[in-house]
Amino acid sequence: MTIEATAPPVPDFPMRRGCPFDPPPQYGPMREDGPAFRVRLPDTTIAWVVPRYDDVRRLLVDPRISSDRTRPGYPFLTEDSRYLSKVRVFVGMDPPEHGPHRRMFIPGFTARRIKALRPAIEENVTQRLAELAAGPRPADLVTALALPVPTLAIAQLLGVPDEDYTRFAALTGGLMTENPPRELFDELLAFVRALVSAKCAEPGDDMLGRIAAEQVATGAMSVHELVVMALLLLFAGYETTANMIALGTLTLLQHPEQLAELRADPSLMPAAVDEMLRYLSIAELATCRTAVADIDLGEGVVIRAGEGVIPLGASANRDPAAFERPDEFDIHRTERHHLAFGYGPHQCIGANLARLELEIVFTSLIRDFPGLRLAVPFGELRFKRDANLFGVHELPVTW
Amino acid sequence: MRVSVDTGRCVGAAQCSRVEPELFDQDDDEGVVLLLTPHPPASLQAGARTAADICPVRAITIEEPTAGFESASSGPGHHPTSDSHVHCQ
Repeated sequence: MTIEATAPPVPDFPMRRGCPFDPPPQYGPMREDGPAFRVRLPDTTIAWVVPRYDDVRRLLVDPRISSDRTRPGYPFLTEDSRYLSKVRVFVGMDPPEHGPHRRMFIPGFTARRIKALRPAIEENVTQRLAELAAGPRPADLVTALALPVPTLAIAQLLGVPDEDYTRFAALTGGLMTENPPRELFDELLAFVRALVSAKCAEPGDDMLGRIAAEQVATGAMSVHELVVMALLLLFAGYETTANMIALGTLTLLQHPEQLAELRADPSLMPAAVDEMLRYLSIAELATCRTAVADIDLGEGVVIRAGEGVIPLGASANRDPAAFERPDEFDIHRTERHHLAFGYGPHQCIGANLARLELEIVFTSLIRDFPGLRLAVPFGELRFKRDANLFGVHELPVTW
Repeated sequence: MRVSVDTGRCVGAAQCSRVEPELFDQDDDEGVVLLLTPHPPASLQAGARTAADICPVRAITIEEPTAGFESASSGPGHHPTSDSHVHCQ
């Protein structure tokens, strides 16, 4: 008999969902069994996953973990993320280098700047819903509403000129189809390069314009770095929000009593949006890290310097030690400490913009479409089960 | 209660100003936290605690007064250089 025969197998990661509303079923038993577990990544390297709320939150502010993608041991989940990691932008920096770079972008995301986007987002939602109402039934809510809302918000944020908006929307929408052609990404890259070049030539009073004037013109940042940063903001804010709009709508349709409460009292919506974010936790795989020193998590588990660490936000958000009845969707929750936007210095910079978009969309949709319902049986919905950002491919609805 | 913020740590996630906008604001140019008063009235103290809890970089520190001395002074740990002109509310 050998020792190998009794060693538990290392499970593959990412793990996949069973019920589309719940995290992978392995997470619950892991939370009970220990503070961290070894998993095998798609490129066959071994990394740690951390399932408990307290550990996840503590690790994400721990200076002993690094977001630097160039460190050996960094756990890449896809080849695309490896590609983007070659350019030094703030999402891949650690303190103290990280702070000054992130601060270049913070003024574009202040509460006042986000609030100023509200009229444009509301007008866009109103138009999309009017088109939906006038169009054929059933309709796909993903293409009719979920994708167009963040497209406009990001175009506003990046300062895409009105005359280029149709092309921007076509490129970003095209990339959301299944297996988009590689050329489409190259076209989007060329579009963003041209946009950044224009901002450098004539900086306006928008986020890219201000960074072009203050950072690129002074040599503190290269044009290419700003291009990659603009692309990262686009990807970070686009499919995430679109998937939340579609899955959030589906969640409300599955909880008709709570939907009715929200329709009767729209002031409940901000808390409901945060509950959707906690409950669905679609973007937990965005927080990959590397240990830069040994980290003792207790119960005999020590993560060694140089090992990859993936704190599981979706598991943390269902941890009964942090939330009562964690597996219930309840818009009346008052706790606000979920980790759907991550935690630590890299917490999502666009969190409040995402919240605003979601509040506007759901408030308008359930007000204007009181008879909204699925147009196919639930079992026929096609979920993005193999994607690292969970979502639904189409959401056929009628009313 | 005495609240202090570390603007050097702040990463502009704007979670504090979202949960308690009457206590926390943001600097328009830099986007970092602006503390409106280090001694929030009772009505803002629950929000102050929530903000300190959810701040992603723990840039908000709260010192709770020792029982019985709440209105007597601004409490221990007072930083006379930064806010000695501010009095308890």
